[in-house]
Amino acid sequence: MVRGQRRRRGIVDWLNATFQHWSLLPAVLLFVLLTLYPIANLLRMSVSTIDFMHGSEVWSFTPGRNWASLLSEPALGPTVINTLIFVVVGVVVEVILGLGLALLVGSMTRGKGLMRTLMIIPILIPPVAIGSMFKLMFNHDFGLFNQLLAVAGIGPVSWLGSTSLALWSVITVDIWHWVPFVFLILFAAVEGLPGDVLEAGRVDGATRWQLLWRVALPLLMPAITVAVLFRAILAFKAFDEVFLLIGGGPGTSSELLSLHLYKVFFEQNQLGYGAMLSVLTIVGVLIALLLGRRLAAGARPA
Amino acid sequence: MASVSVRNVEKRFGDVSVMRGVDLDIADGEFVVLVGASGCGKSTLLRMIAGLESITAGEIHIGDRRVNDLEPRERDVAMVFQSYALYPHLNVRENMSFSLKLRKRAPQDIVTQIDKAASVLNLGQLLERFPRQLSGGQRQRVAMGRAIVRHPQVFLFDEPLSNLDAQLRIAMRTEIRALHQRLGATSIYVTHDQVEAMTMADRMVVMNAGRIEQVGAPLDVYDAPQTLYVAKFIGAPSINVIEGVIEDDRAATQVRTASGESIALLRGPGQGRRVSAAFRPEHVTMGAHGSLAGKVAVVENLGHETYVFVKTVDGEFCILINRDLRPRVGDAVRLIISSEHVHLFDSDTGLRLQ
Repeated sequence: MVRGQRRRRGIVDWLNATFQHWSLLPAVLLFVLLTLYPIANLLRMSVSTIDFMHGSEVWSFTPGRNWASLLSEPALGPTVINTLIFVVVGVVVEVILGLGLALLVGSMTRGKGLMRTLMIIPILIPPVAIGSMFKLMFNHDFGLFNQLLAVAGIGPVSWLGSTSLALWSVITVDIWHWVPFVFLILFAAVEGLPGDVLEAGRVDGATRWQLLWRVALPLLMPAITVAVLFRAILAFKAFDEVFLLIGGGPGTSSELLSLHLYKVFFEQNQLGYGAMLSVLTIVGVLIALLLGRRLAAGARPA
Repeated sequence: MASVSVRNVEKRFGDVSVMRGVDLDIADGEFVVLVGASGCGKSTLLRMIAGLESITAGEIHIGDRRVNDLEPRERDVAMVFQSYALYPHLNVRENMSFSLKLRKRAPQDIVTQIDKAASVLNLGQLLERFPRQLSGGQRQRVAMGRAIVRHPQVFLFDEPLSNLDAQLRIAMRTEIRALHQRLGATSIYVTHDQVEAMTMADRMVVMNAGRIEQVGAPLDVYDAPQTLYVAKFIGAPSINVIEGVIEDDRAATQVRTASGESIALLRGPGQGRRVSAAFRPEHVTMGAHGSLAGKVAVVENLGHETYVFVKTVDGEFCILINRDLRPRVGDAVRLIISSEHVHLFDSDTGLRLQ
C-alpha cells in the first residue's frame, strides 16, 4: 500500500519535472528564432559582401574586405569620438539632473504625484514630434532660443548649422528627453530611502550635505547604477534625435554611430561592412557594460 | 552630562493638537522612562527632545541651552531607534565611528573609543561585519555602541527592545541598566511595556493622550496611582476596578456596588459620591466571609505565583493566591479585599480621591 503510493508519487514527480522542462520549449524556440538566428545572420553578414544582381542577393565570403573598408574610412574616428562624447556627457548630465530633481521632489511635502506625472510627459512624446519641435526651436531665424537671446541682446546663434555647436544641441535635446526617465528611477529609490537611518544620521551630527554624500548617495548607488547602465545602452544606440534634427551635419560633425550605420546600410548599400560595424558596436557596448558593472561592484561594499 | 527640562511643550499637526502643556524636569544622570499606550505622545516627546520633530509651543532646555531651534546635530544627544537604523552600507566599526569622523576626531582617538565600546558591549568579533550579517540582538548592541562612543549629553532610547524576542529583551533590559550605572549618563527611555518601565526607571512618566498623567519612582506610582488610567496601566495582571457609591455613616464606610455588595473602606470621600474602587490582585484573598461572592472561572499557574479569576455579578476579578490552595474551576468563593489597599477614583474625572 505504502509502496504503491510511493511509486505513484515517483511517477507524478517525473511527469511534473518532464512537463516543466518541455513547457519551456515554446519560449526557447521563440528565443532561437527571434534572437539567436538574427544575431548569427548578422555575424555571417559581417564577414561577407552582399551584392544585388538580377533581383536577388549574392553572398560572397570576404572577411578581409570589410576590415579594409574599416581601416580606410576617415569618418569613423570622429563618429566614435562624437558617440563617446554624446554618451558620457549626456548620461552624466542626465544622472546629475535626474538625481537633483528626485531629491528635490522627494523633499516636497505635497504635490509629489503631480510632479511625477508632469515628468513623464517628455517620455510620452513620439521622438519624431520631439525632433520637429526642437528643430523649430533651434531655427536660426525664428526659433524660440534665438528669440530669447535676442531679448538679451545676444545672437543669433546657429545652433544646428555650426560644426562646433551641432553635437551639443543634439546632446541638449537628448538630456531634455531622458532626464525624466532617470528621475523616475531615482525618485522611486529616494522614496524608498529608510527614514530612520537618515534621522540617525542627523542625530549623529551630519549636516544636510554630509547626509547626502555619506548616507543617501551610498544607499542610492544601486539605483544610480541601473539608471546609468540603461541610459548608456540607449545613448550608444541613439539615432532619432540626431537624424531628425540635422542628419549628422554639418558635414559629419554630429554624426553618431547609429546614424553612420544607417548611412552605410541604406545610402551606400554596403550591407556586409555595415553588419561588421554593428557587431563592433555590440562588442563595444558589451565591454562598456562589463566595465560599468565592475566599477559599480567595486564602489559597493562586498 | 546634562539635565533636561521640558516647559509647557505643545505639539500640533495643523489643527490637531497631539500634545499640550507637558512639563518635565530630568536631573543630570537620571534614567527616566516615558511609558504609555501607543499614540500617547511618548515617542513624539522624545523626538522633540532629539530635534527630529518641531515644537509648536513651549521650551526645551538641555543643560543650560535652549534647544528649540537647534538642529539635532547641534543638541549633542544620541539616539537608539526601535528599528536600530544602522547604516546598511557601513560595517560595525564604521557605523560606530560615523559620528566621531563627522566631528573630525583624531583617528587614534576614534580607534580607542571604538575598542572601548566594543569590549563593553561584546562586539569585538563583529567589527568588520555589515548590519545585514548580524542578528537582531547584535544590531541592537551596535546601535547602543554607536550612541555610547559619542559621550553625548543625553541618551534617547525609542523602544529599543521592542523588536527582540522575550528572553533577549529581559537580558538587554538588565544590560542597559548596568550600562547606565557605569556611564551615569542622563537617559530618556520610551517604551509601551510597563514591565520595562517598572524595572528600569529611576523615575517613570506615565503618558496618556498627549498629557503626562503621573511622574514618580516606579513603586510610588504603583502604590499610589494618581489617576484611574495610571492604576489600570501599571501592574500586570491589571488592577481590579469596581464601580459603586460611597456609603458613609457612623457604623461603617463602604462602597456599595451595583449588585448590592459592599466593600469596606478605612475612610471615605463623602456620602453618595460615585467612585471607581480599585485593588490589586495581591490585596485580595479568598475566604468564606468576604465582601464579594463569585465562582472561580480561570486558574493560571505561573509557577512562582498563581492567579485566579473569579466571576461575580459585578464583573471578573483577578486574585493572587498561595499555590497550595489549589482552587478548582467552578468553586464558589468570597473575596476578602484589604481595606487599606483600596484606591478610590472619581467616576467622572478618573482622579484619585483622598
